[in-house]
Amino acid sequence: MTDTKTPENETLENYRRSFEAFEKTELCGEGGWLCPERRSAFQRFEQNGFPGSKDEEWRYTRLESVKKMVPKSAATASVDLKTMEPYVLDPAWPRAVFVDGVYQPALSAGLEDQKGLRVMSLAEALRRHEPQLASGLREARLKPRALTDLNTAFFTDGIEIQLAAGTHLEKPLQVLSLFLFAEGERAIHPRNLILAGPGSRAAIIQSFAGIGSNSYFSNGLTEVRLSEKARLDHYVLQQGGSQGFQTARGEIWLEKESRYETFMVSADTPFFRYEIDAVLAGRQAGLQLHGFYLTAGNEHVDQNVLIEHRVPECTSGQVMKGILDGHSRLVVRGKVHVYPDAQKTDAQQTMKNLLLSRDATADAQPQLEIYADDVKCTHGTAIGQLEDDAIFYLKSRGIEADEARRILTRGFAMEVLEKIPLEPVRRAAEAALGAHFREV
Amino acid sequence: MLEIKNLHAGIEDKKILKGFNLTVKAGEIHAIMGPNGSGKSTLSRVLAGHPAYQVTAGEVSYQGKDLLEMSAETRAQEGVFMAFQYPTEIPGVSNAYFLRAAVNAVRARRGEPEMDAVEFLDVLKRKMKLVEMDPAFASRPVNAGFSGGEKKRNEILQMAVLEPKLAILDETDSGLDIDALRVVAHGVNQLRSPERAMIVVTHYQRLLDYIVPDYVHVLLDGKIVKSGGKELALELEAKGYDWIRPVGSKV
Repeated sequence: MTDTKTPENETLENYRRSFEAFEKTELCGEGGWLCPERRSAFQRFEQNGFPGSKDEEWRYTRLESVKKMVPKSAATASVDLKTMEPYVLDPAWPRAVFVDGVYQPALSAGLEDQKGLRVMSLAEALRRHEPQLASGLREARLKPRALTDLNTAFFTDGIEIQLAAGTHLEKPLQVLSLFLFAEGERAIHPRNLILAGPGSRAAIIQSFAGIGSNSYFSNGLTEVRLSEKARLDHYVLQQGGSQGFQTARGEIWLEKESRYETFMVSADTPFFRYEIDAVLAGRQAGLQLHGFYLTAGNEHVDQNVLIEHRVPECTSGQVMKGILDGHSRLVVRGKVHVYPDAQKTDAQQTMKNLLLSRDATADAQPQLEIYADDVKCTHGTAIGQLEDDAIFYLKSRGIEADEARRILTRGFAMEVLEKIPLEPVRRAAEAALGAHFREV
Repeated sequence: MLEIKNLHAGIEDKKILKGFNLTVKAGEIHAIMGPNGSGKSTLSRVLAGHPAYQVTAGEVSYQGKDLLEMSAETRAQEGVFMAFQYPTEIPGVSNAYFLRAAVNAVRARRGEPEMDAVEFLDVLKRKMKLVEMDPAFASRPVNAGFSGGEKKRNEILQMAVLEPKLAILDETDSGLDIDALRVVAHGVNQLRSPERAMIVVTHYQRLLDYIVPDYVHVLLDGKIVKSGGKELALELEAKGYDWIRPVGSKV
């Protein structure tokens, strides 16, 4: 070690100062019960630093701008109902609302109406020493990752959702995160926990919207555990206006015969890295991922998926489609790892990207690692422009060239979006698409 | 309505049409017959304005205007319609959405107000009945996963909705079994009118049993070599194309 101050060292020093201050606060974990856990996570982070270009999974995505940010934690902010309203997908649905990562009981609604559903802010769970939190933390420690460690060291709030055995959630639950950061650049580390009991069924929408103009770093981590025969539809929806750097990670654990279907819709996000790490741990578990990404300007979106087939007879499917414009970049990586025991695995991957501009870059990397012999695994990628034949077909019906391109591009997107079963979510996704095409 | 004079056209460096002449009046149905490679599809695509084909000589006048000067979309807005031999699949775009966009493009050209979705659905349903098409096809993506027959029927549906003045049917019979052929032909016959001209391009006489033309022209090596009435089609069916080939021409 030398004494020269590299930017890297300066970043780590900033984080150290920030962590030392944080350790003295109550938020660290009332009674300090979490502090040892947080301290060791922070030490791991300090040792390893932010992921860099040498890390294969971060080859195309740099966190340089994030490193430059001083990791101040967010102050308590509040917004009025009117500001929130446009982002509420359906007022009849129960919702939990966060502003700058802090739970807002006054904006949330309908969370106590359903039997078998237990929703609690993570701040509250911390105060109550919820045991589920501790088990999740132990899991995270098994595979150290810089951003996970950072989250473990600093998280103060988020949501904990528990579904009792056999609970069928009547209405979808929206978890809305608004980013305001009126006081300037901030870093937040939301932590969420979704525990679906045996045979439970639910649809949960995590949605994000920027309502301010300051930059920020939001580094979220969501753990999802599906017990036997549980079924969860999980939506991750960008509702626009984002001004900052967002990284998020979903760690999904699937028990026997459970099913996880996830819809990821990203549009109008300057920087978004979304990781999914799923383990099919029980026989006949199934996972389906539908991803749709729209990038423009200088936006950078990176979707990184790892699906582990650990046991036999599980299925997984990934359909990821991107539309790229401007100088934007989209990175899509999907790795399927089939363990030696995982016979009769059925895994499919499709990645399609549509380039609307010569200056946009798409990186699509499907990856199969198969150690079992009786499996059905397929993958396919396609990157291209709109087909001349299709444009001509529309023009030959009188449709003007620009309109023809717009219709075809929309069609490309609709192939994914029309699979969204919840209409308000589909409408919000289409609106994001519509807004983009009006701008172009 | 349409006057084609000495048309020369091709794709890349290949010359395909070599001095094609044809005059079509409103209300007439002209059949263009010819073997593979004679230039039938090139003719259809050149008239529709396909960008891959180049016209090297000749002129085409449509309703007194220079057709070749118009873009493909302008031609369509002015009432030219080509039923594709191989209709393109457009996943993610419903038939209804696509057709309403087309109708509104034509209406915009005529200075007429846009048709809203509800109003249009009414029109579409009526036209679907005309071509005996299941209304469920309105919400299905354009041609995606359609059978050969369904695709061709969908072309005729588009023609029924757009009500062109000049319709060009490019080998509409290809790939159809006899039942599908009958349905498609029935749809076309419903659209015959004194104001509308049609050019039916086909390899086989079979289609002309159902869509009876006023004139039959034989296209060989890029030119019309023989013209006659509907009985010419029967003669071709019986004798093939060889008897008509000029002496010394290669097969």
